Amino acid sequence: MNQKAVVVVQSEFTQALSQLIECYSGSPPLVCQPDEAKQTVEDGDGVLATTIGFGDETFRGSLLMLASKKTTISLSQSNVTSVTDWFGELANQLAGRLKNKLATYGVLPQLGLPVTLECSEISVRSQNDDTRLWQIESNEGRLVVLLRLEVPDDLEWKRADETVTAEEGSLSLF
Amino acid sequence: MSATVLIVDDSETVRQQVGAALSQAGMQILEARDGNEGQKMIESRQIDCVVCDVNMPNKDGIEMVRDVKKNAKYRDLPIIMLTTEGAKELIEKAKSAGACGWVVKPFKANLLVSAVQKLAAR
Repeated sequence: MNQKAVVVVQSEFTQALSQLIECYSGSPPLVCQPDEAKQTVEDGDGVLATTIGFGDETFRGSLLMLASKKTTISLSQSNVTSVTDWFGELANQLAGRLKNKLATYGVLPQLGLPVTLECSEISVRSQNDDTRLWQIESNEGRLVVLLRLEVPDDLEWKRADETVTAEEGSLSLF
Repeated sequence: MSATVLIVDDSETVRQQVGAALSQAGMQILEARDGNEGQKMIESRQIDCVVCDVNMPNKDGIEMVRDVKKNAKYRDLPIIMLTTEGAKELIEKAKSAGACGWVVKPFKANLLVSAVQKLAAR
């Protein structure tokens, strides 16, 4: 495992995660990487799990996000008719933000489509060096996110000086 | 007469959110779930502007724009891409395909509405 590249992705991912949740909860969430390897979220009304893959010819990864239905609905800020669809869209926006951040290193992974499940209970475990867990405490409740990466040892990423991405929320007409 | 706007996105939630913002501004809304559906709708209905996602199943947004713009009849149809992605390389690809704008989610409703109004009135 390429530890240098993994550290880059994890650092950018932490920022992407924090910024996304702040955008929907209105204040900066508390984002931490918990010491305990096993994490879960709880809600009597059910838990949602969504996953999305990404990668290019040099590396690949996937993210898995858990939240209660109550937290997911609160984060939507609107009356969503499909809470599973909305949670998938949130994972899509997280993966998109990570992709935008990686573009500054000249990396442009393809994103998969999100797959979302509704569960009665679920927990995730970080077992290897290639998998990391994040716990996010926001005004709307807790989210747990797992990121798994497969990065070859010989891959080198360098940050570009110029801006190579458009900002979130920006609109440009050609 | 109010403008008719087609929203192409595989997420029902995004279609609802965009649709709510545009319909509040008095626009008529049509919806499609992927590039194939979107293209069929463009070819069968009178549409003034399209708001289109990039990553979708079956046919992605940039592919749809490229295919639609092959037909001279739709050369002037304004198509704005609405996506989580912001890489300039991808934006250039959409521009070359014939898209006329790029919005990075989460979108600001007022900005999107004014852009769509401006483009639909062209």
